[in-house]
Amino acid sequence: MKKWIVGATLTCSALVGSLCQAHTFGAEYMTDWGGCECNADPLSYTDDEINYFAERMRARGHSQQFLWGNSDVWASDMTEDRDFGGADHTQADRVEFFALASHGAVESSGPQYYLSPTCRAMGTESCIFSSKNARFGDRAGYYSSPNPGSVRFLMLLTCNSVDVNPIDAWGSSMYQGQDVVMGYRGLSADSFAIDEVAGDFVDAAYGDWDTLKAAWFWAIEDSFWVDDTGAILMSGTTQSDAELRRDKYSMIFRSRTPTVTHNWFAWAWHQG
Amino acid sequence: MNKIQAISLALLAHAVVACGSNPADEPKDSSQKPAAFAQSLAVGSVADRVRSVSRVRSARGELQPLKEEPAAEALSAIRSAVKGGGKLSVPMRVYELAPVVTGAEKSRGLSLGVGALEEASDTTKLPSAHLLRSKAAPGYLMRTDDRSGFEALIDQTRFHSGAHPGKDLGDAFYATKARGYARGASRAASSSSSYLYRIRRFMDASGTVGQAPTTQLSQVAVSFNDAIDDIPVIGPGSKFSVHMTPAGDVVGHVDSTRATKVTPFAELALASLSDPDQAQAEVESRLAARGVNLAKFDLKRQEFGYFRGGRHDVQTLLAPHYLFVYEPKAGITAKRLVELIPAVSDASLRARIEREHSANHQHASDAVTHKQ
Repeated sequence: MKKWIVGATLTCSALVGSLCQAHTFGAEYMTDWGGCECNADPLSYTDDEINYFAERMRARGHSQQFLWGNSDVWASDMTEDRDFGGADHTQADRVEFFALASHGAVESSGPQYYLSPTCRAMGTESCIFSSKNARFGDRAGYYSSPNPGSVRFLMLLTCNSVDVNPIDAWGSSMYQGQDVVMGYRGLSADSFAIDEVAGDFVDAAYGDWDTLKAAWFWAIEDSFWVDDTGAILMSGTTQSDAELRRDKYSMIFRSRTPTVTHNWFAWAWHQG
Repeated sequence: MNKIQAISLALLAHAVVACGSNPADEPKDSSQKPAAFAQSLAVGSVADRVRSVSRVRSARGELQPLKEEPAAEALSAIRSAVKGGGKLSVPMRVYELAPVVTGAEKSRGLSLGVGALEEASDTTKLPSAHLLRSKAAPGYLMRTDDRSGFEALIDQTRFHSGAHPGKDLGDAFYATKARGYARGASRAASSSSSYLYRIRRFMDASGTVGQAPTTQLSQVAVSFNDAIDDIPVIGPGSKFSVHMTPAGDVVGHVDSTRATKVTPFAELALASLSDPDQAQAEVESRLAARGVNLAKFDLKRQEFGYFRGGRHDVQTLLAPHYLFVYEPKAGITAKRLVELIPAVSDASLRARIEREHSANHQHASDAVTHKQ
């Protein structure tokens, strides 16, 4: 990541006036599984991705709640507290925007749940986080008690995070809470070529007010040559509602009404 | 003449002397070709193969995306040349990029037909970045960067915004449309050295549990890639991408091309290019040093070409590089690895190229904290 000269962090309202949406955010990365319960090949650029993301978020007046790396990244951080033994309400699900850069995969058989190896299980069934056990942003309904969640925006800078069957992976989590998942279809790269993707998303989504779809595809535009395939998933009450949100949703949208459930999903990706 | 040029020219002179210093190698007639002459023919053809773009384009046609084929072909040619002796001269150059032209963004809008552009207020943008909007065509915004020279013009009302699905009209239609737009919008993309690189299709889908999703085409991006001396440019830069609706209406372009100075910074002989096998070994050695188990990976792409960096990169030199891409074997959870290495053997030149690259991709000072 570059050494940008970034001005002092300002309050969001001072920066962009009435359009401004100041969000809380947290982020995690894995570069090294040494000493962890899970084992995986090391990564070299995931820390750069997250640090640049956090830098651009802070520069735009958003409030960093945590930034964990390696031994402090646990499956419980992203796993629902109710019924699944997680503690997401103390970590990923206590912020509006959560980003993770690490390895990712999908179940090889059965429903295509998303998987990501963390360092420790910490009370969950495995050190491998599974989206089967995620309920992000639950502010009403069964999983909101005793601990409601906050996540609206989920950015997963890993392989397979919005894959061929994203409803399998994220349908349960988006049923009553989070607004969007941004990630990759198939493999993603660990490379100098991708270290600015998450930061460029922040500038397009918060600085230029692109739709989230446009901001995400814009961010990945500089790395399509390494065959990275970006993808984004939204949800809605009906098919047309889900499609409208996919095609129009930007950071000026308000969060969902907590009691409204989403059973329809709309997603986008590129190929070639 | 600076030191690097002097070294490079000295290397070139040495190579020329080596080639011309053995008159006994010259054939007396065509039926008695000594080994060295046969080798020179082979290396001569290698030189043509390194200049791969025109040949691959002729073979594939103007409307066929060439993807990485010219760069892969160039690397294969270099590999053959080095194995064949590597003493003959195949002129290769290091260029200086022309300075980024700044301050012309406002009038650029006029030439692109969207009216004068006005700098938008965004006090938290990157210091080198500019965001401009058109008053005459309010949906249009332009993004530029003073460091890299990249430019993007986007119709924000249609660039991945709103629904514009349509029938897929085929590669030839989109390539022709994009070429026509590029001719009017970019001098680089309209030059004969630019070739059709990739055609991406952006797909939309929607559905619910237990129901097959409906899928449709939402946008198409046609990318052209620069070549210099008929050798491809590799990396994120030197591309001109035209984004269109499925019907072929342009909704934006992204231009990362940038001119080079006419006089080369240095001339390189084949002998002063690094050995691609050694470059690959060096890349694999540094991956192993990072703890990567390459037994879990397959080498998927290997390329040779001039490297251009990304949309925010500072770059002054355009030099030959090797690129190696590894993908995990089936069943292995790992990311794709993309590794770049300068293809020049001169130590001081390589050090300068690597300094510039690493300055653009320094590992950030870690802002991580620790759980209690």
